[in-house]
Amino acid sequence: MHSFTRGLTSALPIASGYIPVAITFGLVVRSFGLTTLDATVASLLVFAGAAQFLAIGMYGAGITAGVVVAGGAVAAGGVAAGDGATAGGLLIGGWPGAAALLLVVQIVVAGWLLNLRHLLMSSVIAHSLGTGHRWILRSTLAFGVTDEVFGVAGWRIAEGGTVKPRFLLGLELGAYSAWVGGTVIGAVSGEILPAALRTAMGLALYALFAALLAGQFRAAARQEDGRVVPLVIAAVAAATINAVLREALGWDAGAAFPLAMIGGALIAMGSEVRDAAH
Amino acid sequence: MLHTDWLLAVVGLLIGTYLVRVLPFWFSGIHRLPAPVHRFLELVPAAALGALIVPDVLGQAVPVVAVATPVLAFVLTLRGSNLTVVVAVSILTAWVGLLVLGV
Repeated sequence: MHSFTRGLTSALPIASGYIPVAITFGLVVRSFGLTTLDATVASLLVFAGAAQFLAIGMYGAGITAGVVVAGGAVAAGGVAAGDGATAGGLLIGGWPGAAALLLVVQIVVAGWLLNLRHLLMSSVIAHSLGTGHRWILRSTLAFGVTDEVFGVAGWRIAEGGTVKPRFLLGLELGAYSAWVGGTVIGAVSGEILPAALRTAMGLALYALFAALLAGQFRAAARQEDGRVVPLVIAAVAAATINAVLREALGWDAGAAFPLAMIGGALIAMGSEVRDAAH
Repeated sequence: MLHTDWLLAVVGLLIGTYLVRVLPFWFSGIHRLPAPVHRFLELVPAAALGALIVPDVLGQAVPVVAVATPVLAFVLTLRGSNLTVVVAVSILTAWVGLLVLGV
């Protein structure tokens, strides 16, 4: 079999995992009064599930706080701002105000921190591909390095092989299609679902985060030198810092989140250093 | 149609995410990160997920349903259910809960 085709078929398990999650993303985006195009463009351009959910979560919090426009219309009377009867053009809301711009910056910083881990995954894959491939090919392949793509590619590398560019291209294209396709399905079906179900989809977002966290614990437990406790410490510490900053000190989500994330990871590292010293 | 503020956030995420993914493809030396940096990056996702859940999950409509759904998803995943099943069960549970408790 051609290695591109082999890559595509290797993407099947990834696709079956991506599609329902992407559908949820499309639904959640719509539930905050954004449009199908808003959801689709996010998946097309970013292709990073956790960061996209983080972004829409922070954006939703901004709507509740009245910082951004989209939800204002929703709160005012159930009319999504994207209905377009009055908006007319391609872009809605004009240039955002200072508060909205601050939220945008906070979303970008938090998402970037969350995606820093891809540096590790890209390093492993780039190292295996080796140099000597054209710059444009390497730059294209880099776009599709997600956790799951790395999971499959990294497994092949661990099996003792190198990863061929065409295999990787097929793998990434399969995963990408599932992610974008699922988003469109979710966003479009969001328009026809009853209100209670849409609220349930919003709550399912936290269920998804909880499931991803449990998945992290399981993966660490399966590894030979896996350590689950530091991961638990990181999660609990970050949650605690976030809760204190937000609830006790009144910080907003965008400012508290990056600090909680970094603080949680550092505290977990500190616990490992202390254990090693004993 | 696109919302300007959302589009700006998306483009920002694109740049940040893509840079992190592409740098090792451009500069091969990056694959030897110092051990503490490596470990920090491994721990960040768990920390992020913790902070994504708490405290926001407590401030949702019908707190009982909002808390029960992620707990169920967490337990199901720990016991080995796959993500597709967990997401479907979570949505169904939350939906039934909201209908029963009334919103």
